[in-house]
Amino acid sequence: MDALVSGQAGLAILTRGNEASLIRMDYFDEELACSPSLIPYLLQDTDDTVELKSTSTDAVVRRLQFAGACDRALHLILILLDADEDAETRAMSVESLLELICDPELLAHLKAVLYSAPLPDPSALNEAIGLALRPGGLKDTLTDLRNNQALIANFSSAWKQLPLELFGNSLAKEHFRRRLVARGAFASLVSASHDPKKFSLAVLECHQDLKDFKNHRSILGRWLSQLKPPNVEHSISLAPNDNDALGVLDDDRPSQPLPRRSSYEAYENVKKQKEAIIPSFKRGDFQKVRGYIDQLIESQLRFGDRSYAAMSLCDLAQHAKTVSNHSLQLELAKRAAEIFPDDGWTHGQVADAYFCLGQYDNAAQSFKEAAFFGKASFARAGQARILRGQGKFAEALELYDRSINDFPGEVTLWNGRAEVFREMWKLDEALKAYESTVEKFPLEAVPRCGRAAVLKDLGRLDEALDAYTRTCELFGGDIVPRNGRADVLKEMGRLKDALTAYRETADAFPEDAVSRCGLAEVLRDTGQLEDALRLYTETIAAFPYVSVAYCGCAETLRDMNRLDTALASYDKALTKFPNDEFVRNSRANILKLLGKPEAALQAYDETIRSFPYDIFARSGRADLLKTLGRIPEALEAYDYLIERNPSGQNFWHAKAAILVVLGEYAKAEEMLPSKSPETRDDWIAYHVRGMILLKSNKLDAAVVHFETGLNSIPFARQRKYFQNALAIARLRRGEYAKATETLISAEEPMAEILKIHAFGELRQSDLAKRSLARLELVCPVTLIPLRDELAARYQLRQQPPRHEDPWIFDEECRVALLNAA
Amino acid sequence: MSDENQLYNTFYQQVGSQSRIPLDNSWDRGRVAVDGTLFPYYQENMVFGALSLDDRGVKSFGPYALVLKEEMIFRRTTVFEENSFTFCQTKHRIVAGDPVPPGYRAVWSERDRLAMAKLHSKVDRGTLPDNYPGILLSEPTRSLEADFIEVHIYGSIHRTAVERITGPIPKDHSDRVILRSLKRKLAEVGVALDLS
Repeated sequence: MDALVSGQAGLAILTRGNEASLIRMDYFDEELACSPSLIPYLLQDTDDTVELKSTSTDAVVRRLQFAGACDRALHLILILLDADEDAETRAMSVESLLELICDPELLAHLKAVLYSAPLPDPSALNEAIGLALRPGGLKDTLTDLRNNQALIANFSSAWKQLPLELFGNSLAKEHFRRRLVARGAFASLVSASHDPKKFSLAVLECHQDLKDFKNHRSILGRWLSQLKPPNVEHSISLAPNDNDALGVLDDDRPSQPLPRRSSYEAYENVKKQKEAIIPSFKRGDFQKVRGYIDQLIESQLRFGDRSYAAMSLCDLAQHAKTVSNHSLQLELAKRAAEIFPDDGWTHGQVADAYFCLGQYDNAAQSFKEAAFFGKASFARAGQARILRGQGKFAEALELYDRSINDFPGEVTLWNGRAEVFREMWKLDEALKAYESTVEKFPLEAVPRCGRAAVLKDLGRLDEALDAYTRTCELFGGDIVPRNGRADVLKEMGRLKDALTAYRETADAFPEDAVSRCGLAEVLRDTGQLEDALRLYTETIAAFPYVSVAYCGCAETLRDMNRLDTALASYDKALTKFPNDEFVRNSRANILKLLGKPEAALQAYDETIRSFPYDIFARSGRADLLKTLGRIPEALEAYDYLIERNPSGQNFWHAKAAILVVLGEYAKAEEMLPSKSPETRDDWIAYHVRGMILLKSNKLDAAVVHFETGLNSIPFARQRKYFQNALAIARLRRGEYAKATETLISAEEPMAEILKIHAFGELRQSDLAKRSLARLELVCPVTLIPLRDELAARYQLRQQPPRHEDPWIFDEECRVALLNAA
Repeated sequence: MSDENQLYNTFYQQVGSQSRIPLDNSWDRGRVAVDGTLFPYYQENMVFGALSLDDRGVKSFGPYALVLKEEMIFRRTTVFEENSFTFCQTKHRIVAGDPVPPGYRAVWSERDRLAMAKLHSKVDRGTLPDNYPGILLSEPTRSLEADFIEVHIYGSIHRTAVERITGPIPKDHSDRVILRSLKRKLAEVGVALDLS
C-alpha cells in the first residue's frame, strides 16, 4: 500500500493498485472508499503532499497527524503575525503554538517553511515576539526568524533569478523549490551561512536530497554561487557546466561498493525469489507479495539492468492477472513502466491492466504508448479489444481486418476477430472464423477453445464436448479447455461428470478461480446450496477480483430465497465491477423478484442503451415484460432475440410459453423439441409441454408429466417449477392434501401462493395465514392479484373475493408458465 | 477568500498557471479524458460541486463545504447524473471523443427532473422527508463511494458567490483558534460560517 498525505487537505489517501480510500483528519479510525480519479481534486490547492511507499495504515495515520499539526502550526503563526487579527485570537494562537512546537520535528518543519521566503512585513515579528510570552521555543524561533530576514531575502531572491532554462520549465523549477523547502534546505543554508564548515555540510545534504533531479548540480551551483560564506571548501562548489554528465553517473552509481556476482548467479537468485512470491499470489497474501516484490526489485535495480527489474514486474503483473487481482496487476505494471519507460511491452502491460479494470481511456492511452515504443500489433489488438468492450463491434471488426492484413502472423488478432462475431451473435460466422484460425495456427489452444465455445452457444453440445476433450488431450496443462469441458457437461445435465471434472481441475490448479466457481455452480444446480455458498465465499476471499464468484454467491442466496441478501451481494459486486454487464443484469433479475419491476426495467434499459448487442440484458428485459404480462411487448422482444440468435433455445421456449398463455397451443408445440430432455433448456421446454396438457384439461397426463419431470430433472432451480406445476395440477383435481405434500419443502413466493390455495381449501387457516404473512413481506408484483384474491376467498383478509375458480386456475397457470420459461 | 481579486480556480487553470503540481500522470490523465468528453474544448473552465438538501458536502471531499448563492451560478450551471468519472470510465466505458449518452444531464432549472429520473426507485410511500438528503447525496462508506448529483459550473467563482461555509465544530483547540480567525475574515466579506 502506498499513501499520499496532506495536512492542508486534512487527508491521507491510501492507494492499493487501482483502489483508493481515504482517512480524514480527526476521524482516524474511519476509512472511506474513494475513486482514484478524485485524487488530483482532493489534493487540489495543497503543496505539502507527501508520498509514502509500501507503508501501513498506522504509519499513515501518524504521518497525517504530524502533517495536520504542521499545517495548524503554520496557520497559527500567520494568525500571530497578522496585525489586523484581534488580540484574543493572537493570544490563543500563542497558547496552541507553545504546545505544538514541543515536537522538535514539527519545529524543524515550521522553520523549513518560514525560512523559504521573507515575510512581507518583517516588523510584524516584533509584535509577535512580544506576544510569545516566556523565553524559549517560540520566542527564540521568532527572534531567529526576525534576525535572519535579510539572509532569507537574499536566498529567495537568488532563487528567483535562476533562469528557467536550467530546469526546463517553470513547473519543474517550482517542483525543485518545493523539494528544497520540504527538506528544510533554505533553513539549513540560511542558518549555516555564517559558518563555512556548516554551510559545506548543508550544501552536501542538499545534493543528497535532490540527486534524483536532473541537473541538480548545476542548479545548486548557480543558486549558491553568490551566497556561500567566504572560505567554503572548494570541493563542494562544483563548476556549473562540467558536472551534469558526472551527476548522471553519480546518480546511477550505487552508494556502496557491491560484491561481484555472475549473471548466472543473479538469474538464479531472481528465479528463486520469484518462486517464493508465486505461492503467496496463489494464497492471496498480497501484503507479503508486495514485500517480496520490493525486495526483488530493489536487488535487481542494485545489481542489474533496469530492464530486468521491469521484466520481473511485468511477469508478476501477469501472475496478479491470473489470480484476477487487476488492481495489483496495474500497480506492478505501472511500476515496470516507471522503471523502464521506453519499453513498449511494459506499456502494453499497463494497458492490459487498465483494460481488465474497465478503464478504457487509460488503456487506449497506454496502448498508444506501447505502439510508439515498438509493440504495434499488440497495441492494435488492444485497441480492438477496447472497441469490443465498448460494444462497438462493427468498428472492432474493421480494425481486426485491417490489422490482420498488416500482421497476418498474430494469432491474437485472428482470435479477436472470431470472438467479435461471437459477441455479435453471428455464431455461424464465428465458427467459420475459429475453424480457419485453428487451421492456420494448429498449435494454439485458444482458437480451439473458441470453436468449442461457439459450438456450445449453437446448442451443438456433443460436438462442443468433443472439441474441448480433444483440446484437453493436446494441451493437458491448459486450464481453459478443462473448464470449458466441465461447463459443457453441466449444460448437458451431466452434473455428476461436471462436478468431477471441475473438482479435478480445481485440485490441479488451486490458483484458478473459474474451476472453483464452476464447482460451486454445479453444487448449486444439484441443490447443495449451503456447500455452494461456502465455496463461493471462500473463492471471494481468495480471489477478490472475480466477478463470477460474487454473482454465484448472490444467485445461491437467491435460490435460498434470501433475496435481500442476494441484492446486497450484487450491490457489493456492482461497486467492485461497475462495468460488468453480467452483474448488472443479474442484479436487475433480483430486483424483479423483489417486486421492483421499474427499477429492474431501468437497469436493463440502461445496459441496452450502452451495449446494444448485450443479449443478456435484452433477454432479461423480455423476461420481465413477459412476467409482468405485457404480452405484445414481450413477444416483440423475443422475436427480436430469436432473429438475432435463432440457436438460442431459451428464447423459443419463452415465446412458446407466451403462446400457451394466449391459448395458441399448436403454434407453441411447433417451437418445442420433442426429444427426451437433457439440458436445462430441454427441461424448460418439457415444462411448457406439461402446461399445455394442464391447460387443455388433460389432468392425469399432466400429473404424470410433472411427476416425471420432478423426479428426473437434475437442475435444482428448475425443479421448483415442476413442483409448482404439479401442485397446480393436483389443486385442479381437488387433491389439496397431495398438493401440500408436493409443496412441503418449497418456500419461494409462487409455492406460498399455492399453499394458501391448498390450505384454504383444507380449512387450515393458520397454515394459510402463515404463507400469506410470508408473502406480505416479499411478493413479486405479478403474484399480488392472486395473493389478494386467495386471501379474500379464504377470509384471511376483510374483503370480498372478486373472481371465480377458472380465474384462479388460469392465473396460477399463467404465472407458473411465465416464471419458468 | 481573503483576497478580493482571487477567484476559485479550476483544476486545469491551476495546473495551467502552475500553482499546483499534478501528482500522478495516470490519475490526471483519466480525469482529463473524462472532462474533455463532457466539456469539449472548455474543460479548463469547469468547477465541480454536488447537489445537497442540507447544505452538507460530500464527506470524502473534506469536512467543510462552500454553499453557493444560486443567483450567482444558475445561468452557468448544469447538473449531471453522478460522479462524471465513474459515469464515463466505469459505467458507460466512454472513451475520449465518444458522445455522452443523452438523458443524464440537465440545466440548473431542471435539476429536479434529473433527480427524479435517477432516484425515483429509492423513494416509496415509507420514505420520510428526513431521508431525502441521504437519498440525494449518499455518503461514502468503507466499501462504497459517495453517490451524488454532480454540479458543473462554468467559469471561476468569486468569493461573493459564496453564501456560507458549513462543517463540523473542530475538536482540536488549535483548529478552533484558526476557525475563530477565519470566521472574522468571512464576516468581513459577508460569508457566514455555519458549524454544527
